[in-house]
Amino acid sequence: MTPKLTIVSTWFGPDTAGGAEVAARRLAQSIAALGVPVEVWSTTARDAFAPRAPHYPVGASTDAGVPVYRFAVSPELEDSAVPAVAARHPLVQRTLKQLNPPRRELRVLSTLVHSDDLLAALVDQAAERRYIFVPYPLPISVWGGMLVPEQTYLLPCMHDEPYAYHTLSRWQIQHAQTLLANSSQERDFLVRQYDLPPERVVLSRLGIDLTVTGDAAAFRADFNITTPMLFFAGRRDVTKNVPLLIRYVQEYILRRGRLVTLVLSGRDPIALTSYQQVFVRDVGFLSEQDKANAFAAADVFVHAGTQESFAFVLMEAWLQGRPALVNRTCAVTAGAVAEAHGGLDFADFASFAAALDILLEHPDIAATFGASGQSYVHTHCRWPDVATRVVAAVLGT
Amino acid sequence: MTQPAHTAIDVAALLSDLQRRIHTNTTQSGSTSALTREELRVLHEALHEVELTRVISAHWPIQGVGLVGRIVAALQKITRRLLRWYINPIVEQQNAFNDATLRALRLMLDVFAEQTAALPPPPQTPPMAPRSDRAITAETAAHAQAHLAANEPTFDMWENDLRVDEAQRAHIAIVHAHWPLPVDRPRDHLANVVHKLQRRLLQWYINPVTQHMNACNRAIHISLVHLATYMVALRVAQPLDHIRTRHDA
Repeated sequence: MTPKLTIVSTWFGPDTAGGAEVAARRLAQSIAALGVPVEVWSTTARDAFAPRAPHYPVGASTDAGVPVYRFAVSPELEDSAVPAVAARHPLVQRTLKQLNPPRRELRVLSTLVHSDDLLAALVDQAAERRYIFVPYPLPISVWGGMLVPEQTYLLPCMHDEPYAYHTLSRWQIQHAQTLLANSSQERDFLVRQYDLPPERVVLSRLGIDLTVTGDAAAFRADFNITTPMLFFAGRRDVTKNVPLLIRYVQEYILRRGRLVTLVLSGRDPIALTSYQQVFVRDVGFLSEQDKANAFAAADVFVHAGTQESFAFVLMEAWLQGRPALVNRTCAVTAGAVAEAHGGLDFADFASFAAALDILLEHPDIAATFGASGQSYVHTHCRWPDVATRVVAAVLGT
Repeated sequence: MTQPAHTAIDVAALLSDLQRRIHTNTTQSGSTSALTREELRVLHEALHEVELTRVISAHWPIQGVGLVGRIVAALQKITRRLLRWYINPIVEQQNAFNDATLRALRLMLDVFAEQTAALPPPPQTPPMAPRSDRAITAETAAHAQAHLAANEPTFDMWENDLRVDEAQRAHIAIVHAHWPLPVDRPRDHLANVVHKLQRRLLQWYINPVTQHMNACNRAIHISLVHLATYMVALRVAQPLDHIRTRHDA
């Protein structure tokens, strides 16, 4: 009997935000569209922005044709404690004794959402399933991978970050059957960081919806944008280097003496000072169509973040034919820009300003970069291709 | 222990002085932008909060209701009297530091405002016109970017430096009286039971002190955040306003 492919994601659903979670949902839908049986196991919590409160009901449901089963979130653990199901399992006990992970790693995990019911189900049904855990650093992925290593496949969504250096992460990555990398840069990092044989890491990539067409004029009219426009979508915080981006744009305006508008979209609130409101426009959380409109309206898509494993937004910007300006420190986005010839990167304010000078002053160059990016996206980001690669990697078919 | 050497602050005089300076800054200095005024107003509110929370007290009224309550209150008063030699000097030192911090914040506010008032008005023409080189193509753009960047004047990221410790400062601004007790040796378990009991018995005394300290620390932290914002506003708000006005025109 072919084992059933089961995607395990702490957060999952139509209201759920987060790059890895959105990837899990689209992947599940794409695998189902291939006619391959797939299920999703998740918890009742919505996402990282509302981590514990139940948002979805416990039990079975269907999401866009994909069967989903949600388990109740367990109560918060005491400091550094291991979830009960994992703590009493001999395999976990043995592994923890052997690893003796630093207390701070256990402490971090103990503060995050977990579900004992879900962990118990992983063990109970291991014989008939193969699990794809998404992403790697959450308790359900860490303890789940330790409970059922033979059935564990991992879509880690990893980048060079502190979690990647944890003892538990190393064990988790090294013991997964196969790792699914979102980008060639992530694949290289995984192989190098964990001394893995290259064949254990499959470059499955991720896809985007290639049918969305943005309306630039509509966005500019809706938000009354009359200046050159830079656009960023995502978390508006230090993890994405948004404060740095704002300072760079501010300095650029002051030095060049002309106004450009930095449009920021995202769910989380952002505090802007009154002088920042001169050139920063917070448009909040946008629908998919409005976001596509914003990408189309942007003169340049800007992304200062350094910790990415894929960057959906970069692909979405390219889909609308817009050039990108990304942080050179980020191997994934800078690598993608180099591969796609889809824009420029920056290492400091001087290179940021120079790139903006070129992209804003030379619309023909911006358009060439945008077209190259668009071509790259159409070649690499087709969900059916991604789903086929994942199914082949996990089921061998 | 005697009172540490510092001058007590006259709250009413300080607030009056602060109001006067705000009025002066917003009506006479070179930074009369409405954008700057808003940042100054927020900063003023933050400093006011520091003023309200800067004095930590270890001697608030203790009252008990009923016979048992009165007995407990009496015991607490005795305990407090017995520990006064130990706790009060700590609180007094903290108060001295809080006073000094508030004075420093006020001084910085004055200095920045005076420096900005002395700045010349922003230029009416762009300080640096956008450069154009029609020979650039997509293939040579990266090379052109490097060339342009090499000629870009250095950007002093002092604004970033001001902000770099904000998250860490916010974290350490919270004083905990109930931290996890370490267990390095088996006998620590027994010691911790005793320490937890002591801590529980004294929490009526210690917790309010740490709560006061946290309120003040938080107010100082927020003031520093707003002071940093105001410093930047003094530099950039008026030029930005000019650029926007020119664009709108």
